[in-house]
Amino acid sequence: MRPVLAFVLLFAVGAAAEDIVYIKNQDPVEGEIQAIDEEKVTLKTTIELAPGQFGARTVNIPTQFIESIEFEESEIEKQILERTAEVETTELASAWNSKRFLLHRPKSNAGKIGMAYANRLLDSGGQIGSQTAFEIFQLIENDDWNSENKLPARQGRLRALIALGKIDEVIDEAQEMAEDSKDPLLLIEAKFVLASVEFDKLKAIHDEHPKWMEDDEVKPIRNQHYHQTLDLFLFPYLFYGSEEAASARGLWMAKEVYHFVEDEQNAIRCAEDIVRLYPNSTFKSPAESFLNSRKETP
Amino acid sequence: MIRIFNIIATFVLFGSCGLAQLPKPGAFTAEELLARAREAFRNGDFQTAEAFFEAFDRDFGQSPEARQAIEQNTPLIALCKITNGKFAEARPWIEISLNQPKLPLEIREELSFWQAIGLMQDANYREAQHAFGRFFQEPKFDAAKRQEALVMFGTCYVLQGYHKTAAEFFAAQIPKLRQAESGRENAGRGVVLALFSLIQAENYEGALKLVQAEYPNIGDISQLVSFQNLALQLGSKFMELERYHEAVACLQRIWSRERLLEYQDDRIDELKLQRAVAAADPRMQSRLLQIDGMIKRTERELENFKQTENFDSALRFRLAMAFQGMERYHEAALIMEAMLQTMEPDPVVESASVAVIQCWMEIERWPKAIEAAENYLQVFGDKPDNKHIPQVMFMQADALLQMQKIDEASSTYKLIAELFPDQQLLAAKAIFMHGYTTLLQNQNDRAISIFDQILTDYDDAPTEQDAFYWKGMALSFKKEYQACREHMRNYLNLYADSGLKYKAEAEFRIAFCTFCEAEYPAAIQLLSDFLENHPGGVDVNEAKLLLGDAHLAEGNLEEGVAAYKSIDPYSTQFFEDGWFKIGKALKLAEEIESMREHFLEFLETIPESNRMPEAVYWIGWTHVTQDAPEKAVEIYWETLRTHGDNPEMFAIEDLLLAMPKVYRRLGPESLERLQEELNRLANEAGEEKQTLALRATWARAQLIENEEYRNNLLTRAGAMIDPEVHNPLLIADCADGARAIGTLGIAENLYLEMRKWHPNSLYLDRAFAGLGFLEKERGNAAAAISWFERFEEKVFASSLLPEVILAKSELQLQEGETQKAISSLETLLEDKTVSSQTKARALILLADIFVQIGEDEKAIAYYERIYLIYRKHSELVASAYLKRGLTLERMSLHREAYEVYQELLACEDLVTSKESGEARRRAADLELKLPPEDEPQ
Repeated sequence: MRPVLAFVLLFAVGAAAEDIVYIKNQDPVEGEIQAIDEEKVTLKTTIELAPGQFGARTVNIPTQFIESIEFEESEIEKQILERTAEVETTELASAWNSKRFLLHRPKSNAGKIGMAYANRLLDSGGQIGSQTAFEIFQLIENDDWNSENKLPARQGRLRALIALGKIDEVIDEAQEMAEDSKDPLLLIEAKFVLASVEFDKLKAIHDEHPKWMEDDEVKPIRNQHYHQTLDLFLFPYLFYGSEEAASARGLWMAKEVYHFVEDEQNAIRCAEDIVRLYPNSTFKSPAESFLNSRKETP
Repeated sequence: MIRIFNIIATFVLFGSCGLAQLPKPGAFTAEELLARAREAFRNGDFQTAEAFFEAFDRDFGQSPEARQAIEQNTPLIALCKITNGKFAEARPWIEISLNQPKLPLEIREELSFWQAIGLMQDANYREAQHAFGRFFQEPKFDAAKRQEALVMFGTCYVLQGYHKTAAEFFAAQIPKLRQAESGRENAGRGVVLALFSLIQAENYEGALKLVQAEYPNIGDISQLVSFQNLALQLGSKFMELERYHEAVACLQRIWSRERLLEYQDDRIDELKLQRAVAAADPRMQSRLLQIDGMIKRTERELENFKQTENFDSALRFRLAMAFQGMERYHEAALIMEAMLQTMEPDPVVESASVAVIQCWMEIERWPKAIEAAENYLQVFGDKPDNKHIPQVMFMQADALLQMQKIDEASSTYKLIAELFPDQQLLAAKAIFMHGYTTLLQNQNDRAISIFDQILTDYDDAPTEQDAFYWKGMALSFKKEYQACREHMRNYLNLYADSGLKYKAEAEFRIAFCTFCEAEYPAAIQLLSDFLENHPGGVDVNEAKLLLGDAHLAEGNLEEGVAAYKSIDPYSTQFFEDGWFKIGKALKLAEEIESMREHFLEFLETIPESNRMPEAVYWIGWTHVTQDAPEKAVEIYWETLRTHGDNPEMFAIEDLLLAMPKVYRRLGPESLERLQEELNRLANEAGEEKQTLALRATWARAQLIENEEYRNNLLTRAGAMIDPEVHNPLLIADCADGARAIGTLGIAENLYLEMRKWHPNSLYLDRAFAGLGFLEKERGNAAAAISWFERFEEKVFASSLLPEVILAKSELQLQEGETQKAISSLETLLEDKTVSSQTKARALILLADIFVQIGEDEKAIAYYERIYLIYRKHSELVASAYLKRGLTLERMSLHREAYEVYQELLACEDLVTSKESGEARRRAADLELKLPPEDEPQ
């Protein structure tokens, strides 16, 4: 390390903001990152000038000496990561835009913020939102330092493709994932994507052929999509039941399918399974609400 | 152990001084014996060490010096005996050692622990527990070892059978163990013991909670296989108790054999790495011992697990059974289906293979059931003495039958009977189903011979009675009424004692056959008896109708009407038949007023009936008979005004189609009047009564002769159509009209909407054909061919078929699919129902194709066939002549061509055709070219 940098960092005692820069072969230094680009990080830090006397100092640290940076999470970031639903879409967009260039930096939370924003865009529907979500997911999948984010990003990208109507592309990729993957989580996600595609096809058939039941030409096709949808959504529950989040999600979607085809008995059974077998899942509460609504229905 | 042995070796070195002065009784001196014992001990050869210590005791034990030496070496002797598994012998040595006040702490710790272990080995659990308790309470002892003692303390509860206490103990201690340094493994052992105790204490809820809570920490459990086996045991217990959700919760958390083995192998590798690190560091000896224990336990457990057979299949099968227990056949089937795809065949997989078919059958997923049955037969079909095969084949056949694949089902039933003739009951049932399915295919004679086979070969089987009855039914279907009647009488006699399955049905059939034989008095008696004996039978309403018919045939008007009136209104068809037959009876009796009242009552009672226009017609007929045609017209209008705006009453269209016939009775210009009145009705109905307006406009269009005007009117009517509710006849007519005037978009939309909302309509052929024709018109040959192919696939017996085939052939020819076009046309020519004009057009097209592909000789033959066979279609005949002439010319057969032209010119009916003009020119040209014919010699 260059002597000046070493000197500056030697006396650094931190700053009000708590960004931490991990420097190769040195102790980490705390401060407030004021700027960052490909070549350097501008860090404002506090220096102890004399015992009890402090002064502020800004230093440029070349990125080549930096191992990683741990950014202090701002209030809004904490809110995004912990209570996404309470954050406005504009705030999500703003957080992502201010973080996106840090995606590849180790310890950066940009990927998680990006996914929160992209998921919001997808849930809001609309072609432009879906296209933006697709691009964000793709960026995270390719560039995020955190390999844990790659799978949900890939899944998000496939969901965005579905929303964009590029079903064939999705099917090919998910099929490939399902066939090649030995990783249960990847397999589950691939099947979930395929199930979502099948469910959309089922809905489209019901929409285009309201009398499908009387239609000898359409009925077998509809039944094929219906069974395929259920088989795929139930996959994690039946084969990886200890993967609680995925199983509960699959069951909830199976309940949605049954509800869609007005098979209330099986819809209730799926909701009951969630409540009894996956009490810690996020789907427990909607499942209970669904069951209560059924009890109220005469 | 190594560290403690070093400490002990140092400890005893001090006590060995002065032994050299002892006498030498045998091969070794006392000093040598002790030196050798200690050396062997240091080298880890504990058996030799023990032997030297024992020799020392035996040879020199009496001397006070030796006693002192022995006392000083007691820790070594104790450890030798412990290591050599002699716990009972070790105990006094341990106790002596522990009583030594100067015993170093490390040795005291080791021996105290082994003292407790020894007590446990001797099944003295109570004392062992106290010993472990004391060990745990000594704060100076190694913390990790104290945690282990705590686990052993709990283990003693388990060994004493205090399962409830053990469970409570572990429940309290597991969180503390987990927090302790290096305590996660002990916590894992605690979890396994707690689970065992809870199951033993029959606290299944507690056990399930533990499984669910501890599953995320599964990585801490070195005895993972035991944990999973206990979860399996718990799941099985819940299955026994029919608590399937709980069973699923347990079974879902059990890993596959492969995953378990892989995980534990990795774990052993990891522990061995940790061991290597610990062995290199003298400060980690205690950890080393702990790791050794973990490796030993994991390896032993893994070895045992490897001996377990069918683990995965048993697990998956149990899970499937749990779902089946909850009547969740879909879930059960999916699990078992996956088993069959991924697991090697074994007895459990085989049972599952049968169960999966049953599950698919249960949820009526017939294709899956058939596929699963085929898979089973493929995998297990060759297994000798396989008792499941007939059952599986039966399910396969039943599924085929449910899918209406009657022929395949029938063949499968037959095959079952042929393959398993020794299984009388099964074979008889199979052959009966073969006969029954043959009957379903209207092969009555064949069915009779199959039923006869049962009566001969399987006369003891329960299906014999079924076969006898259904043979009678086959005779009835064959219209051999006398034979059927005799057969059914025999049936009633033969099986009277053994219990008649089909008594009512047979009695009805006898009455039915008697009626069909026109033996009305006998039929009246039999039908009356049947109605008296079986008032709730399925054939009652048909019997009442037949009774009415029989009475009328005998001239018993009153009785006949009474029989008809007794028909249940809910049996729609029989009830309406009865109503109309009463009307017919009144007509025969010339009770015109009553007849009118009767049909007016019908209109009031069931206006939604499809036979409503028929009733209106008969009302009109009564007025016409009484010379009041205006009144006949009035009833039509009254009905139209009352029900004309109700889109669900499709019979209104029939009524409108019948109106011109009634109007014609009013005079020569009555149809114009009808047109005007319909136009007025349409205008009056307006937007408020759109269905009525639509119907009036449509009906008016039917009366218009000018095609263009008619089609424009239909297109206008099409705008009023709501395809979801309106009669597909209206939609098809309006779509055809729109297509005819070139508004293809409107036509297309109407056809597609009709297809969407009326998928089983009789007019669907018009939608498929219309879509094909309009695509042809747009120049989209591929799309048009696709619609025409769907037409051929989906439509049965449509009058549009020849037009469709012709159009399709033209397109195929255009697309270069010549062979397909030829094949389509040849099929058309073979069809006897096709009109001669269409055949003539097909022949021309076919001949044109042959010209195109250079097969002129074939072409001239086809052209000739047209003017020889289809003479009445003059425009086609003229064209055929000309085309044949041109082809002959191209073949340089000029004289023959000339003769063909001459023949055409000789046809008086074709003289004005444009082909005749062309023929005249060609003939004139040829005349100049042809050499004069030789005079006959």
